[in-house]
Amino acid sequence: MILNTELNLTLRPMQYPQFFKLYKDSIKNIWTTDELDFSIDFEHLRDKLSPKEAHLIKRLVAFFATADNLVAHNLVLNFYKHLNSPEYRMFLGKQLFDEMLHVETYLLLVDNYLPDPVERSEAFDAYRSIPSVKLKADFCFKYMDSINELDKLDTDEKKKQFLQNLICFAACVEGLFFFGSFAYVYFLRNKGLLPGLAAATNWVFRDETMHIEAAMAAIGVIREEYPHLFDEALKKRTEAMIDEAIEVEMAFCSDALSLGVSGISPTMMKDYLMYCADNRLVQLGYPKKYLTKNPFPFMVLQDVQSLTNFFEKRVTEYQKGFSATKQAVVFDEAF
Amino acid sequence: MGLQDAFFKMGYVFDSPEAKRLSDQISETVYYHALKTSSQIAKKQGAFPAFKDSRYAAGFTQVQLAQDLQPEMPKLNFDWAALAKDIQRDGLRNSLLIAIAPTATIASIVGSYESIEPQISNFFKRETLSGEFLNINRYLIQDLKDLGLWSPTMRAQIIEQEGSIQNIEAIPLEIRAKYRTVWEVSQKTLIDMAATRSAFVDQSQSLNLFLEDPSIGKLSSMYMYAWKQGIKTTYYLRSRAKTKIKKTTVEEPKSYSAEEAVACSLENPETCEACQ
Repeated sequence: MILNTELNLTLRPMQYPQFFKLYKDSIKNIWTTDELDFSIDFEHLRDKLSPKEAHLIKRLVAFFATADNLVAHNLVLNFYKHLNSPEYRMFLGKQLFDEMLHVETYLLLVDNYLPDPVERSEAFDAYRSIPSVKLKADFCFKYMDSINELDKLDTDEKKKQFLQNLICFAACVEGLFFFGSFAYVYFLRNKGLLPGLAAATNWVFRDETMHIEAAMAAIGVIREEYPHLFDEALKKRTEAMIDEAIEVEMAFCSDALSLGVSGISPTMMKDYLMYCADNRLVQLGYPKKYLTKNPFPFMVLQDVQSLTNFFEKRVTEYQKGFSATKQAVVFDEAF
Repeated sequence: MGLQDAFFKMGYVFDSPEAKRLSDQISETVYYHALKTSSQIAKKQGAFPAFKDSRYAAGFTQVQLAQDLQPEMPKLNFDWAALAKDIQRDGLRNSLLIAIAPTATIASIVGSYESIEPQISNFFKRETLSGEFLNINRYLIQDLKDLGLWSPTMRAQIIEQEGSIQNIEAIPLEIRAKYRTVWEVSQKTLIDMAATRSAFVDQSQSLNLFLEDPSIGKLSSMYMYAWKQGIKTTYYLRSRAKTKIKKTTVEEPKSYSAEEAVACSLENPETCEACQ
């Protein structure tokens, strides 16, 4: 059982092969920050961005600067501690590496986008000093703090508390906050702006998708093994939490778009967030609640096969090579 | 450029014998007339300086050379022996005439498919320096419209299926065969097509190969086969990402628990989604 308190290190027989597969798949997606190129963005920031768009970017950078570190923090202190499956812990090891890559990506972004050292340190302090970013951080802390003293999941009450944390980070932090921020990035890309940030986002978004999928799979296993935890109270609390997450993200939106950016409005963002929230609810096994449509047609670019001109841009659609030791050179395989 | 467009327009399946025949005919016609014209210019203005030392002066074009070297020759439609003689007599203005380019950028400007390749997907995004652009297979949409099958649901379904229509039951099988993506065509087809085309290409061709999930076994088999077919060289190998970004423009498929399914089917046997 995945929430057992006795440390489980057994991989044979494998109890959760689905998590092992997630680990293996995610390894094929390894990338590094050497593949990022912010040089064109730099020109855009200097010459092309309107002050309104520049404000939006500053807020996004301030959010990105600390967000992945927060996720990593929770991953180690909560997920790793309590999800007692050695297969899932392997995946978490890779996820932690992903989070560090994202942290490094956004460090590069801060260094490239904010030349002034004072602005740089302000960005890293945003989770305390900029109210709209602080709201998001506080939301995370609220669900992290509640289980700070949680050493052993020996009662149902504690298990529920942990489950709430798991749902919060999968459905709200990675599943809504990040989805919201990525939409701004793709909105700007659609206007031909900041291709470096958009390319970086392609990598990060793909990783985040995997993280959400894995967390949802873990929640699915908990639901199978401990169906009694999924009572009406949990459903109500989850719905309230998602409502709150949308509200917090909308406060961020009002600030980020406070100067008005043509082509995107808080109303559209709200529809989009509700649309994402409905998808998270379905993933959690609950019915949809908001029933809005995705108002951002440009997001379709994320949903289709990508074909990159090699000479112009770095290809992001590929998988990592494989070990030669296991596979033989043969001449009669189908291809 | 645009070989795939020609096949779509003519209703040819990429790996059919008709498609291969057409591909050979196009290449043969282009090479034949390139040589003929170059020879006519040479007659007036003189041959390229090293003509005397070239194989053309000895009575060989690429076609005659290929006859000796290639395991499989295409069917010939022009009088190549006569042309070789004319060239021997009149000379040739250009020492090299034919290369098949990757055409990544111009194909996207013109709005056709790249080079000699099958389509990469029925819905795809081209990433360039100037931005990212959505490309939709307009031939497929027209065919679906003609059949009354084109709708927002169909669009979402194709996106959900990563741009493939192979598992969409509503679409007739012959349409599905016609609009396969490069991931769904055997790479042997591309290699075989390139091999017979080589008889009409005196420089080289940009032959990209595609494996969704490459392995050492598949790669070694594929490249050995290409070498045995007499391919001079191949170009890029494209593969696909192991995991994908979450789709935000199509809806999450709803899953039903066992109890829900049972309960629902008892109550509404006619309309229950879970039981459909």
